[in-house]
Amino acid sequence: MFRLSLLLLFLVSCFLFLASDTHAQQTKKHTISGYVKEESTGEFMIGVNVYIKELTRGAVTNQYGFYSITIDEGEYTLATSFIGMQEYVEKLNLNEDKRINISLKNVPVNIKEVVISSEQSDKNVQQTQMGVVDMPIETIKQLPAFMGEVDILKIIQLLPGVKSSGEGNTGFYVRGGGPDQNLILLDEAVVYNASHLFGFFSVFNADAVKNLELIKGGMPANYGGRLASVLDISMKEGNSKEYHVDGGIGIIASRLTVQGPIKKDTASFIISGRRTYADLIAAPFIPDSSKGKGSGYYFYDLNAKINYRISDKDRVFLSGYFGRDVFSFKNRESGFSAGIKWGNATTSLRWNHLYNDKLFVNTSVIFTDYKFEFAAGQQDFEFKLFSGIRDWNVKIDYNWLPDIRHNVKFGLNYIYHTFTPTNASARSGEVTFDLGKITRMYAHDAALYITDDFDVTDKLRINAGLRATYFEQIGPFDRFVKNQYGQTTDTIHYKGVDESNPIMKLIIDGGLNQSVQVYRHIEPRLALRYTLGKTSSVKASFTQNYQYIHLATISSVSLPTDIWVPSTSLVKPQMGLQYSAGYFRNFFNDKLETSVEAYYKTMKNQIEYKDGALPGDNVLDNPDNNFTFGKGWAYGVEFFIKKKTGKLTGWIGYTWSKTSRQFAALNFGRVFDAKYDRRHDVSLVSSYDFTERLNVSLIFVYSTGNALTLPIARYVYEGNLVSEYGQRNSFRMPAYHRADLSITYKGKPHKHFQGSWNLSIYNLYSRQNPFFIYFDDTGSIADGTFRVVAKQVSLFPILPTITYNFKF
Amino acid sequence: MRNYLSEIKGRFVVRLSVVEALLLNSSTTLTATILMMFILLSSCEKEITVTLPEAEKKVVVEGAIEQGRHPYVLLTRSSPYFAPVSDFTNNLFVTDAIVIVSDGILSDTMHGGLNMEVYNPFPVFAYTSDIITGAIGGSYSLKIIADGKTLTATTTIPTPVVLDSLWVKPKAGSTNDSLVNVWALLSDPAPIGNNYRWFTKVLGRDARYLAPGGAAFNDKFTNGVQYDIWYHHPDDPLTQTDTIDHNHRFFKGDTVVVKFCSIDVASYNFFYSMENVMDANGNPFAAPASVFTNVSTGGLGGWIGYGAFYDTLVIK
Repeated sequence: MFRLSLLLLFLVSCFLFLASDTHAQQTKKHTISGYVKEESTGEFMIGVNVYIKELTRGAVTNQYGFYSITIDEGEYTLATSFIGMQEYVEKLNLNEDKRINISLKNVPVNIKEVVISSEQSDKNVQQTQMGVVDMPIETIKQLPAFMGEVDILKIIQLLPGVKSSGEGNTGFYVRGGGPDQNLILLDEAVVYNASHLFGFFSVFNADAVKNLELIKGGMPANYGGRLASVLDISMKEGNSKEYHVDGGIGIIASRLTVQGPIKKDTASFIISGRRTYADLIAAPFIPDSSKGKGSGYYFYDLNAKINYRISDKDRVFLSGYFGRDVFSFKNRESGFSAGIKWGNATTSLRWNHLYNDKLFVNTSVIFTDYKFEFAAGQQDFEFKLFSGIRDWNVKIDYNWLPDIRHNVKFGLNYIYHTFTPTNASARSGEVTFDLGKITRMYAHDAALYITDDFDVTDKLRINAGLRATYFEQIGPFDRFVKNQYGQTTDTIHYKGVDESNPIMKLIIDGGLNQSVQVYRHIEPRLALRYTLGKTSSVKASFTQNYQYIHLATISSVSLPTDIWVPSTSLVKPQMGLQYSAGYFRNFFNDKLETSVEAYYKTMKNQIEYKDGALPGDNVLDNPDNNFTFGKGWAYGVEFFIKKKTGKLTGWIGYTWSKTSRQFAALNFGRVFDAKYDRRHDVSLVSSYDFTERLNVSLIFVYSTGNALTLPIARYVYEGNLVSEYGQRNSFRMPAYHRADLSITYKGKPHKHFQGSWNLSIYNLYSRQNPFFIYFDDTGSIADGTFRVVAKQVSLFPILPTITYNFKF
Repeated sequence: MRNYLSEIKGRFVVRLSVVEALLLNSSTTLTATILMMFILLSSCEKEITVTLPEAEKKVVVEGAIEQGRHPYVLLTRSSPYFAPVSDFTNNLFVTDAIVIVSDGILSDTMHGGLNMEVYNPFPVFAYTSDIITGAIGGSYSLKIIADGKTLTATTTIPTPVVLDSLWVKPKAGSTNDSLVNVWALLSDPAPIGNNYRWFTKVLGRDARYLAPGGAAFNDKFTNGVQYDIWYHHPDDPLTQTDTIDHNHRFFKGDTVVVKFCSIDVASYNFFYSMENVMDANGNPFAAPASVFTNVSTGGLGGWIGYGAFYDTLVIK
């Protein structure tokens, strides 16, 4: 509490400082503002450095390409810097507010070296934020792709502090946090399950993505609701100049994107689709007599977006994502069939409005839905299981740029959550089994925030913010009260308006949603940067985050069956504190960026399933009755060297880290390594342009083996052999390492057509990395031939794939 | 109370444990199975050497008491996972322990010795008492001093639940009607919290009562409901002779004694979690779990009270 009041005091003084600052100035101030876009496509550009040469200060375009700089009257040179784009320079006499919309041109490849060296971006040294990485999609597309599918989540895993959840998997862990502690946003809509095919592919179709930003530490107050990180993905708006078709034909999936103006420079659209077709290709080759005939798997994605510029001050965007994984399994012999279907749907409607040159506001209405369905049947027995989460979300975000020294953001956010924990139904012919009525859980989730990123002195810049959060679980809800053996002893009913018949309920219950549990918290955030000269700086940050919704993972791998649950009377919000500090330095005229960051994190109210819990235990029960709670902590050091320009680009990252958990009810209360604890983690990413048309990229990764729990002993009961497991996660798999190579060759550019071939080789030296370890018994105890062997299963040997991409 | 099912006319014709198995394991196991099918297409497997931490040898309690019968207790030792079988078998039984059983009024130091009944036809070293006899509603505690450790355990004998009727049916879809499963009609008593375990013994074929897979179940989904249950012929884990020839079925002409037991919740949790651990063996996606035990810290196994109901069925 003391810390909090201190921070409040600090914040108040900052705002006072800001106020006094504006009053003290006698000279007149004017504002230069506008949007930055790419000339060829008309796409608005995120993260472009727009600055005043004379002051070596400026602004960075926001998520919608908007910038605003307010400075004293005078003669100035306005310039931009952004990797791969030509510099824009304009001399101006600032005697009134100016609107300057900037179009940036691509740098022709052959002169990249020359132009870039004239003006470099030193954003990584100058910005107050630490632990932030943003990456244009073009960087990602040249890198080796698993099975030819370019995947942004797999590239994210190559950054220091970010760890992959396993072979070929898109799941990621940031700084010792769990997979549910990452806030993944697609055009501001939360994506609850970002994976296809059990994590081998992510739901993000690289053709529809414009930019991504990952915040792994020092999360500013405009983001919240998760402990570990924010991955903010922006979709392309669509070319507002001319029609384009891009596509790719790969071995497992094909993609097609159509974009173009609806009304030139005013409205544009983009539609992008992707579908795997292993099932279609394989189907004709499976004989009708095969007992598995009719089994198959595919996934598809559809991204669409429309934007319309109503006026210079108003723009609206409507974007959506829809994706499904569909799996069907049939065994003709036993008559058993099963179908699994899961996927996300998101829609966001956003309205950008400029009140004036200094005040930008974005209002969003967002719908997001994640569903999982499982159905199985044999003869006349049918079984269904489903779960999911659905949100309605309203956000208003203001960005106020009163002065070149300040960048103020404030806003509010309200989400109405509907959780569907595991529900099941079973039926045999005419008889329906009682597996309880469909249970849902409802919650209000609201936040208010304010944050200011400002220069205190020439050298010291601070980003201070506060986020106030409110979470309330509401009825209808049935709480099953348990005794120590897990038997239900009582049921408490909380009233609420049932979605199925709101009007009847309104009459009967008086329409009230009874409050089940309320949580309120204040989350202070602070980040500061102190420059030590033109090319280096030190940074530090402190954040306190609360997380009100949780993903409970029962298995050792992330499966679509994992369910999201709200904070309840039993499940307290997760709380995370993170302290981090770093040193940032650029060399060779900003060509080489380097940084060292250290962090320490503590996490409270972490959730795990009780020992021996099974997913079905959630049926006819509250999921949280199967949870147990504990704490965790994580610390580490991250080293990063990045070369952004020239023929050779890429980075090397190394992380030393440790993350542990302690639960009273697990592992006899002893501290254990978290599942995703890896002591060492190295990644090397390099890309070399041999010519304008030939690029070769290489990736190498190394990490400490996964922690796992193995049986250590066995015993006999009633003649059966039973395993006794050892301490949780006390065993390590062998280290993981792998190299991937890709060669991209672009065909001769034609007037209206450009084709390119990409050869990606996954696991270049065919390393047999352990995917899992299992034990196999052979022989019989009776005759003494009984033997237990450990077996390691590796997933992918060397795996070359060819993809053909085209655009016209 | 959710017993509207009892109003539904007709009988359930699905074995409860099928529902349970699907419910309790389906989503994870099935997705995992499917995932494994996928990855096995492109994966490769090799034998590796795994060095496991040295495991302490624990004492495993396997004991039972039934109404009208004397208790027995077997004490065995756990063995390191990769230890050769000889390590296991040579020193399996704890023969020098002090085992005291008490019904709350009387207590008796059980006497150890070779016993032919418990694991018939295999001789085992068991501790028995001639003084203590199980009674319905009784609570029985054990105190064991073995291998330098003191262990305790307590169990109860719940009231037996009578099965309404027994009959047989061939396996659904089977053309051979001489191989059958045993079916029973069970009326679950109204208060929730009934836990059961099913045993059968075919006279002349089985030397002792055996429990099939899924033999322990409770009334979580079926409280107060009258419904059918069925089981196949269980395997003797020690001989495993029933696998192919008998196809896990009862035969025409068999005389089957059904022993249908009520057990307390701790006993149910023990059997249920033990089956899960046995099922999860080798499944890398299952969460590693420990077997619930009603034996105090440092010990393993279960001390079980059975409220048994017996019925005999002659298959014609």
